[in-house]
Amino acid sequence: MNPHDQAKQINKDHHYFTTLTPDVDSADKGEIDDLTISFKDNIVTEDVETTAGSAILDGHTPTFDATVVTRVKQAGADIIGKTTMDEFGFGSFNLNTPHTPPRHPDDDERVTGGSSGGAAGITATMNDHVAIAESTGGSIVNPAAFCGVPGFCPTYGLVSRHGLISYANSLDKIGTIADTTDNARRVFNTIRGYDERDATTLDEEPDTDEVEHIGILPFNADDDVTTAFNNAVNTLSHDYTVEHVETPFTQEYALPAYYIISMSEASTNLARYTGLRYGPTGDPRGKHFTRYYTEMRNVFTDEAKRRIHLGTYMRMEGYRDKYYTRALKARTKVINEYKQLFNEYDILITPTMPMTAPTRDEARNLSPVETYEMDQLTVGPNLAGLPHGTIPIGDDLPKGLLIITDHLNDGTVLDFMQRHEGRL
Amino acid sequence: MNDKTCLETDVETDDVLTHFNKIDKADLDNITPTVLPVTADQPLRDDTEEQPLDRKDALHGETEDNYFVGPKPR
Repeated sequence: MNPHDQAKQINKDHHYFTTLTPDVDSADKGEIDDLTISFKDNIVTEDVETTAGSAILDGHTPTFDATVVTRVKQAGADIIGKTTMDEFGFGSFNLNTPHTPPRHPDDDERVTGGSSGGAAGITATMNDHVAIAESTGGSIVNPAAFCGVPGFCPTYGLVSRHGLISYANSLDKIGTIADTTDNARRVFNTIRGYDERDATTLDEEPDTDEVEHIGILPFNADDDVTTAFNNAVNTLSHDYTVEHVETPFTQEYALPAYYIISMSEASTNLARYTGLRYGPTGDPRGKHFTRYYTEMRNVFTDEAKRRIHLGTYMRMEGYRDKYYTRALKARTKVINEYKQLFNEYDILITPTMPMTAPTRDEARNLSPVETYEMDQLTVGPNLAGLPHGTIPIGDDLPKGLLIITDHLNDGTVLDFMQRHEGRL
Repeated sequence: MNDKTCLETDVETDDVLTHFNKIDKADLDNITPTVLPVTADQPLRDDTEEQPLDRKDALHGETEDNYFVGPKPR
């Protein structure tokens, strides 16, 4: 079946796309012309609706392509659509959305994970497909682990974010979720590299090191995940030196530091959505601006409102030093803790998520803090800007092995993923 | 959709803020924030360091007051 027709068929029941793009014969032939590609809905695409999963951007049609979109088009890939996500990336289960949440590929009642839920779901369902997604605190590896596909998030700065709708600028990274690690790597190699339109991109080649020593980071996970992880470690111990390591500061402070930074930066980024410049506009005549502004912003989900409130509070005069500045300092200590370990270990591993994909009801019953704690294992490398990836492990409902290495050693993660994919 | 405006909303924030207050207990003496990305030749950059007032390094600005301390232009 034509991949566009196949995506349309899958989308009827699974809700992986916010927008499907038409089948256009590309004149460009290139290194990835055998693949279909989707973009998370916070990556702008010229003349194709881009909403970042938010009703406040309904109907927003950008006038330019993000750099990653341009590079993929030049490499000849067939683009099939924009994938579902938590609003602006705010979530771990893809339930914070004004749209119908995407369905897990193996169980209709379960979530795909988030925030890149549609990206992971469609990748688990189609062959030769690579979803280009974005991670702020785990939004690539979380849904990839829940849906049982490889996901890769590069070193902060290796992939241009020009044309990415910002969530938290000092944390956002674009990466890939793919049917195979080989395809994830091919598309990563297509989209990475210096971009004069993004001052944070690096003009550097990622390294690949031989893996000999593996450190196991501390974790708390449910029995199913722990068993699968221990079995994977047993297999790995035949080929590598594997030891348990400690990260006391990261364990204690990475999660609050991550959420303080991400909410503070998100609250400034979302200030631009006033109902005047982007998305739907109302009728402001006769209304005070504050009234108009708050009415238009009523379409935000509760989670977006919570992050705007808390982020704004934590940046207020007198509170900035207590929260935001301290969180930035905590990030330095987290990075230093990882760097110490990388003097001795080539990669660090944990389960990717502490549980398998919950049902939608189970996820909705979690409090905000309980939901944030689901990110316990993924926020560390994201906060530190370290390259990391996940591959499926175990049987039954999908579970993931999280692999983390030092800055700019992206090839080490990808090689390890490729070597052990399907074997753990 | 919640029928309250963004300013009137009653979303839960107290428990979340209590969780964030853990950061108060972190020992962060003599630690400075890191600016990402980390580069190979300059592993950790410190955004609180005083920047040199070299016009050639500035993207914008004519005076010390509005000196831009972002990355160098390429």
